[in-house]
Amino acid sequence: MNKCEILSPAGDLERLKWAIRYGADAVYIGGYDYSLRANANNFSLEEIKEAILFAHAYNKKVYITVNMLFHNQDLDNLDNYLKELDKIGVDAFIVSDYAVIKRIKELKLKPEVHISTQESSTNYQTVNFWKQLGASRVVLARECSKEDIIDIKNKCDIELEVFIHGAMCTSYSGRCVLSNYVTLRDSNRGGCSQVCRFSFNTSYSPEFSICSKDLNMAQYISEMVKIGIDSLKIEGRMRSVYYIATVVNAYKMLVMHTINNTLTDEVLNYYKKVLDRCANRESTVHFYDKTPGVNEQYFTGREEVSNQDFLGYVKGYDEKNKTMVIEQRNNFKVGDVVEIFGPNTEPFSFKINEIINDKNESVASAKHPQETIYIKAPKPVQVFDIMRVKID
Amino acid sequence: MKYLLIPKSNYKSYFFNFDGVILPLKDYSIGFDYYYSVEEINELSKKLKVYVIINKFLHKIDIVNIKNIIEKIDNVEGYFIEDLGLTNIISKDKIIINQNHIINNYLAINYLNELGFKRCVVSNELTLEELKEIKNKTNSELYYFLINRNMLLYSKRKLVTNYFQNYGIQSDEKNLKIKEKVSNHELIIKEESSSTTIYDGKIFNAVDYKEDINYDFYIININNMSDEETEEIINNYKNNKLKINTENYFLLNEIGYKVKKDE
Repeated sequence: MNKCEILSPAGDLERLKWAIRYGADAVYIGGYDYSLRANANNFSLEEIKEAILFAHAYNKKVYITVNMLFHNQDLDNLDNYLKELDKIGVDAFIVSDYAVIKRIKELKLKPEVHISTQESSTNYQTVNFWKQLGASRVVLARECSKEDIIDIKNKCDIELEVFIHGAMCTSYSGRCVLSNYVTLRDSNRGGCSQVCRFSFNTSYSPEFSICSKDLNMAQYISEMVKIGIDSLKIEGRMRSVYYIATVVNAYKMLVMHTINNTLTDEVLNYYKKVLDRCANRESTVHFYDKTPGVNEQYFTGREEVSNQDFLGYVKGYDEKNKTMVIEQRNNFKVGDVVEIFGPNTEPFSFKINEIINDKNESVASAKHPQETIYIKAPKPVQVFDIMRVKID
Repeated sequence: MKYLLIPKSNYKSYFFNFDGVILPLKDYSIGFDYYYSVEEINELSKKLKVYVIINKFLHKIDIVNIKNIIEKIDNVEGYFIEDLGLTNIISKDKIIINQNHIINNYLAINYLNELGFKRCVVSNELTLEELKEIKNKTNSELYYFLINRNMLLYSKRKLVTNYFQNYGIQSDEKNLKIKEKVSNHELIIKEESSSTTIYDGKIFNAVDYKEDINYDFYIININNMSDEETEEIINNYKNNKLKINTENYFLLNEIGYKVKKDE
């Protein structure tokens, strides 16, 4: 069976490190220029260099998004930027614009070329077009059905990357400029103001909405691995450390269980619950098994719930005393039932019987952000394991 | 410079007032008011210079079927294509790259030219200066939507049907006027069998700047417009002052994309 890459987003160096620790095989990031998240933190060239060193030490890859659609004036510094990225050893460029492909080829740069989902590739002939231009991978349109993906896989000798989790555009990617016209921000140069999440009046009384729910492909991961998709992509370069660690870990486990032929309904349902809980928006399957309908959209009364499941992470473990050192992230108290999970730690839950603070005092609760706490754990844990609210 | 019309109906005598017509291919185009069958295209191509537009994204079945359909089309000047898969089906000299919002710089156009695609439509979201620079730095045959109700979104979802279904509204309407609640920006939403598209409330009009832009072909698209607007455009599209409410959007205004720190 094909080894399926889990491809994680990262908005900064800290997130990148968490993504890799939690099982991402590759991470995609944006530099200060030319990516489609102009208003995310993004990475300086120095930070990209550090990211590559970190990732390569784990034998993982780093892809750089250079996927905005360039206007003439944006081209001025493109060559220097691409050459710098080549020099510091990025593994691939994710691109949309013909101009970028042209310059990568003419400058004879080493990184692979991956065609961004901005190009909305939906059939094998289109994927073959990109291969003829030298691309080694195509990120398929989110609108592709299972049948589309299988057909492309069968007819193309090129790596395929498919989105499995995160926010969805209402539009075919690259074909929405609502942001340009309604808010004067260029969506295809990273300024998208998400007008698709706004509300509209019509001649009918309920307000009009075109807002899509998020994507969640957990139930089809096993099938996607068997189809032979090369890379499973998670959306969300602006998401939190906890979100990235949780989502990457959940999909990594689903892929591993598929490969090891150990994926049971119980395992699948557990990870579906994990994914449902960590999102602040509803998520569902979209185009893979149908044309999305009323249930795949948000209308009035949309709630975005702030997630406070992330209680802390393990900074150390005293095996002799079976005590973990936790850096706190959200409030918890004695008597709470919590769960530990990590890259190499199967999830387990337990009730907190005592909390010791950094002054060696027994306290009823951990209320202070980033304070150091000592808690006894019933099983061994590892540094960077996460403690969260128990998933029921 | 030449003018090509995208009609909104079957044959009319005013088609002859243009240098050619661009006909939306039935079942393979989206966002128009009238779609042409192969028979209608072949009939018109005996009398007029005819181009065909195929602006739908093609999925598994489409990309198989379209090959047979194109083989039946005779004597057309070219195909305006959105889906790049068609580059492996139609000969390069017949292709006009028409990826909506995608072609925004001279280097991209020059690369397409090197690949053998020597005709392309330039984006409507560019400034006059950007359009002129593209003209100066490329050798390709350039096309531009001079009058158009700009398409701002192309979705595969059924956004109007879903709205009615969610609220239990009994309606057969497929076209709605919608207004963004904060800015009051007016938009038109149009649902068809395989797509929903959204258009700006105001008609884009760059007629005043046609000499400056100086492209080879100007496209006049009268779809998604009222009869009055259509008549005014048909009769006066070469004149600088159209007596309808229009807008030139980004032609004179550079658009931003980075939010300032204090914003």
